[in-house]
Amino acid sequence: MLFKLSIKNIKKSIKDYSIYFFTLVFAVAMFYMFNSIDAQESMLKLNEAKREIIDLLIYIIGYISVFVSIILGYLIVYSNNFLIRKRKKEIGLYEILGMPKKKVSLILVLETVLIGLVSLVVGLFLGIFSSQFISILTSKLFEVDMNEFRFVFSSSALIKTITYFGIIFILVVIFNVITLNRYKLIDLINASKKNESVKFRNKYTTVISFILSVVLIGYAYYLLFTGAIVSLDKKTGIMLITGALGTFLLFFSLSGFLVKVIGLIKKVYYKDLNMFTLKEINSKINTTVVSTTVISLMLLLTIGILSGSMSLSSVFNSDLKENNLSDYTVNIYANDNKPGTFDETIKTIKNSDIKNYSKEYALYPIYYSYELHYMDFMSKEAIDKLMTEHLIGDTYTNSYMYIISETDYNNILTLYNMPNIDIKDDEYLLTANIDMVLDILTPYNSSKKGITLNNVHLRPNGNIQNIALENYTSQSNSGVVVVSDYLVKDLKLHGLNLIGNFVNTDEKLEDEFRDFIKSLEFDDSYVTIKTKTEMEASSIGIKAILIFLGLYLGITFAITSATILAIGELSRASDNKNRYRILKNLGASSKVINKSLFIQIAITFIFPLIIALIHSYFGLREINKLIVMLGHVDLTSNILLTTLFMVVVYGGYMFLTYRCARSFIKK
Amino acid sequence: METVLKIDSLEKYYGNKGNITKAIDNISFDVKKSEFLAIMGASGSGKTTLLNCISTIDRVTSGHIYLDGTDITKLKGNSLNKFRREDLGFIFQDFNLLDTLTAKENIALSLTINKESVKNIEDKVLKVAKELEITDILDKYPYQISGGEKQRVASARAIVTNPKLILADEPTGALDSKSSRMLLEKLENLNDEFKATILMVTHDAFTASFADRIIFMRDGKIFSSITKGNKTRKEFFEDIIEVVTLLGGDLNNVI
Repeated sequence: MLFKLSIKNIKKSIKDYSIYFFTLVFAVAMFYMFNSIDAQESMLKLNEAKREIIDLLIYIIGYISVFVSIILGYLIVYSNNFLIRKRKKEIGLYEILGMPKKKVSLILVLETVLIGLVSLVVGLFLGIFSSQFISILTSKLFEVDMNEFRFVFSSSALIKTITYFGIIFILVVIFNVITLNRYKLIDLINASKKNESVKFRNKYTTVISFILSVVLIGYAYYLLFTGAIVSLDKKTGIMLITGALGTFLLFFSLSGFLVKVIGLIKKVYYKDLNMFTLKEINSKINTTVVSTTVISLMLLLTIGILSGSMSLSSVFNSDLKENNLSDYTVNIYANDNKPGTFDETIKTIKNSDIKNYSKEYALYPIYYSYELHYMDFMSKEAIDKLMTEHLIGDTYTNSYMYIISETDYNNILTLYNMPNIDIKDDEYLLTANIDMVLDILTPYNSSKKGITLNNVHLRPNGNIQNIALENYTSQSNSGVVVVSDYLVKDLKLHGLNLIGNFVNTDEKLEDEFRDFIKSLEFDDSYVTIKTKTEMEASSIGIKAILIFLGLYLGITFAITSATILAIGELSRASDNKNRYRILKNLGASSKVINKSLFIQIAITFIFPLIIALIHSYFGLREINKLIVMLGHVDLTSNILLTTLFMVVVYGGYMFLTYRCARSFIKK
Repeated sequence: METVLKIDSLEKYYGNKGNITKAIDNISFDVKKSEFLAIMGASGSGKTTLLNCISTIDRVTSGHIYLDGTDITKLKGNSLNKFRREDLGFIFQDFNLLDTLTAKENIALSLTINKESVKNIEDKVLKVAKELEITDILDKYPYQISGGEKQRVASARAIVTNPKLILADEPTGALDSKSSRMLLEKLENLNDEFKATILMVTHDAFTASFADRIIFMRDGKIFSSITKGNKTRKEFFEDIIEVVTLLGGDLNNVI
């Protein structure tokens, strides 16, 4: 009997709150999918370096999953509480009919367990099905072939999903029972009669809080523009708190403010149902300021994470071959930077067995001079622009410019199979490959004004050469100047680079080469080794990790905020059915009523999104200023991607909500 | 006197084959222009169903309802909405005011639905508000005013579009006796001054005594009908009590 009742109740609410069940199923499927990457690993042809990166990805996703499950748990408990509140009258009826509280609780427990089971099974089914497509994405991202396409199934992901969601549903049961026991019978019976007191704020509160919100948000932006997002200290905290508080006050006052303003424009106010629509939105936002603020900040986080991870990953998107023109790089740093420091080291390398590993190689010392800074290679306009646009601009302009000799540079070009270059005694050649560096150095180089080194005036030999001088995951050449050999003799030493190609492509050779370099034991210096395979693997890996995490967190936050909004809107529509019936009786056509409903839902969804978009626009602008220093950033495509994602997920939820709400008020 | 509403052999059945309830069983009557007609009957006598059919909220099973010569049982879609907003005014037992709108906005709403031109709206609202003595509470929300005031706001909303017919469903049902009397006096006033045609459904003899004519219903049929004529309200009230007594025990406990 109880079981039958539970099933009937579920059938009824599945129809009314399909969005909630859709979200449950979707959350389970997503959780399984992201945790099933371990099963895909075996399917891919991976080298050691890439395998390590995927292991790292799995490790990180494991941690993030805990966080994601907390968010989803909150969402499920919150939505469930909401649905229970809607059923007060029904619960009261059971009690009046003499059903003991324990049995009523049992009905709710049974329902939750059934819903949990159904959504788990459907979600897992969907997850297992879609993870087949994710494996194609993984192989694309890691730029590897699949051994063979076979059915991917991860038992560990399955167990993990069941455990995590099992815990969430147990929590839901506990919360349900607690809520139920707190209700008094009289409240349950009168639940539908109690009309919600309508909150409208008085004029002065509205105006004062609006002014205060503008001041607070303005101050937060001021802190943002003066580097608070980078400094990660007290200032960052103050920025976040004032920003959040300002946003809260904005939601607190803005809708009232708008109603007042639009109320003055009689032509708009007294048109069709505009008056009704506006007041409904106003009362809705007034009663849900806190959750609107939370949703808006959650959307800000979604956009920030998605767009940030996409821009950061685009740094690693650029052509890997362009960034790794040789097979390996060995950086040797000396503690002493006096001239002649590396003479011994160079001798050791040349006399060693290096030929066994690498026949072609180039050795080049990197110099610097107290006379040559970045600012000497920049026009005044470029310096001003850098200082105003970039928070750490002065670090750049005051840095020393690295210098290498003409002979060494030509050795590198020979290794790269590129034609050599002739640099006259009074000339210099500038090289770089980071987009931002090329931007800030090009104007002065084109002006042909030249520089002065060791009291010799040098002219540019031509345009800046876009070239990588060592192996790295992304663009690495932040500016190196090449001058004639006689000029470098007395300069200070920064380090010594050894770049070259291996004799074959055997993976073992790389490990042997590492051991060989370590065995050379250069005096008083330390060494780092970077190989092309390793750099490619980490570049691809970092890109993949960023994309996976961005999507995982982005989807979680987006569906959480959209679902909270959707459930709120739906329950409001069912609460206010009566209001729409009155409108109908007054002779308003369905078209006009539906239009009013659509505007209400659209504004409830779009209002927090707009505020989030404004915040994220300025926040991301600051963050991107940092990211461009790392290399090439493809801003257009990542804005496009983020927008597309938001339109599909968020817009989809909005549309579904409207469809459901419309059928509610039709009844 | 010109006929505004003509009910012609109206029937409304509920249920299906083998189990039919005749909520309205072949009823015919006319309502004249600027008449104040009350329909009395016990619960289940069919008076609310009749009102729902006239207001086109419910569909008739057979028969016709003519308002100013138009058969409203044939109306569909947009012309149905147009009929409701232009020709009808509603007053409900539970007021049916919109919580989020002020009294003034509630009244103005039926004008905006009617696509009244903007410059006339505030004047019209003020004019009916004055008539119903609610100018002081125009800027208040429904939860801030009393039941009697709410019902007067609802009446103002019903009359402001100048409809051909005002339908009132137990307008005093949720009011105390003092507010009831005040509201009914106002309705009487609207009937006299604005020449509004009012059709009121009630089970309360006192409320009904404010009407010009009363139709009594029982089990979906017209039981009898009495006219006030030149009688005082007290005499008319006593006539009503007599009919109610005849109607059967059902109504006795109401009084």
